[in-house]
Amino acid sequence: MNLLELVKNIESELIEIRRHLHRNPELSYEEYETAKFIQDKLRSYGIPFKSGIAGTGILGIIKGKDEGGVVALRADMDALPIQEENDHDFISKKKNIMHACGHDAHMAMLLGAGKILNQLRDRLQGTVLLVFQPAEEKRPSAAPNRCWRLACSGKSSRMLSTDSMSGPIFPPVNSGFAIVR
Amino acid sequence: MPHKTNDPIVTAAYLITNLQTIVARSVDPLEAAVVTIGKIEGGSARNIIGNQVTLEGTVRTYQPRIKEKVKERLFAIANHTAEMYGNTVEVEYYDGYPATINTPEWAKLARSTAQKLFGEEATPDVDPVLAAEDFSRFLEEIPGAFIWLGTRLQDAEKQRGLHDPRFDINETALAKGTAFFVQLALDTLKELRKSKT
Repeated sequence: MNLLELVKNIESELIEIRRHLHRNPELSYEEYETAKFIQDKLRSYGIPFKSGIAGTGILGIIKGKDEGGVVALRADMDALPIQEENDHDFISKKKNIMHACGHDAHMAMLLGAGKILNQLRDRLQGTVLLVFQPAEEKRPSAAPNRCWRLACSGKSSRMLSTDSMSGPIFPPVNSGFAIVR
Repeated sequence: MPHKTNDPIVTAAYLITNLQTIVARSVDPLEAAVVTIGKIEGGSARNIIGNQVTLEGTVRTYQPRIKEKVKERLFAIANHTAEMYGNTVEVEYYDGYPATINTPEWAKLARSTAQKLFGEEATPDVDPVLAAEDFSRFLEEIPGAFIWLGTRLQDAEKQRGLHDPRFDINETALAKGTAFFVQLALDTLKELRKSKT
């Protein structure tokens, strides 16, 4: 199996998801339609999930065949109070609300990764959590903490070995390049 | 009559200017700090002197002790500037997120995953930046890494920054980011298993 090929197969779906979310942005803690869209996608991929975490947050759970560690991948869900001025054909339908921080892309990539990881779950040596977190843009909110506590309730001893990764967007770097420090 | 008022708009203007001295004169130039007023609201018409102005902004630092210093100066400058012009000020300050600092072990793994997928040159070095991000709240509880994915547009002229009304991404990054997420999850689970045995 070649991973890049697997992903290539769903590339048009990734773009479609990102554009749908871009057209329909929602502000912090009001990500209702966004949450519903994500749940519908997870359902269609056959990925079990919990909803209503820290408000509109969602936790997808992919259990591998083998026991092992837990890794969480996170995407943020909210848009910003900005009037979009782009002229592409998937411009925001909402006045003064725009995905101007790449969260539309974060969610698309996390859904795509979830879809593929779920297909590979026979080879997974542990559990993958898909954390869709509300209200990243909101001035200090408890959303991340609540997301995390709920995600890991009942797993206290395992939590320490858990790791979280995020893939936000940073414009000045070429597509596909990753920056880690 | 204008001379019988304590014009809050003039006071706000001085206050914004005075706040600029925090970074310029109260913070060691070798330390990182940003003080921004991003929103100003006040007044109702050109010939009416309003009675209130609301300013909103953000403070960003790398070191907690610098944050305390900035906070202390912000309160002092706000109170004294208002007093100077016969006005009063109310400061609401919310302590934000700590700086997002990756767990070295997992940052290293993420870097090697990216290089495996996209080549040696795919992980350029950068200096720390003062973008605010609440992922630090996750990192307070559990080890992990926060990764930036490059999304530069083909047409450099059109590239805008985050939070710009014309911000857009290069959609070729979506497939790459997805592959990266998948490989990262696989590599992390493998590493966790290795460290257990």
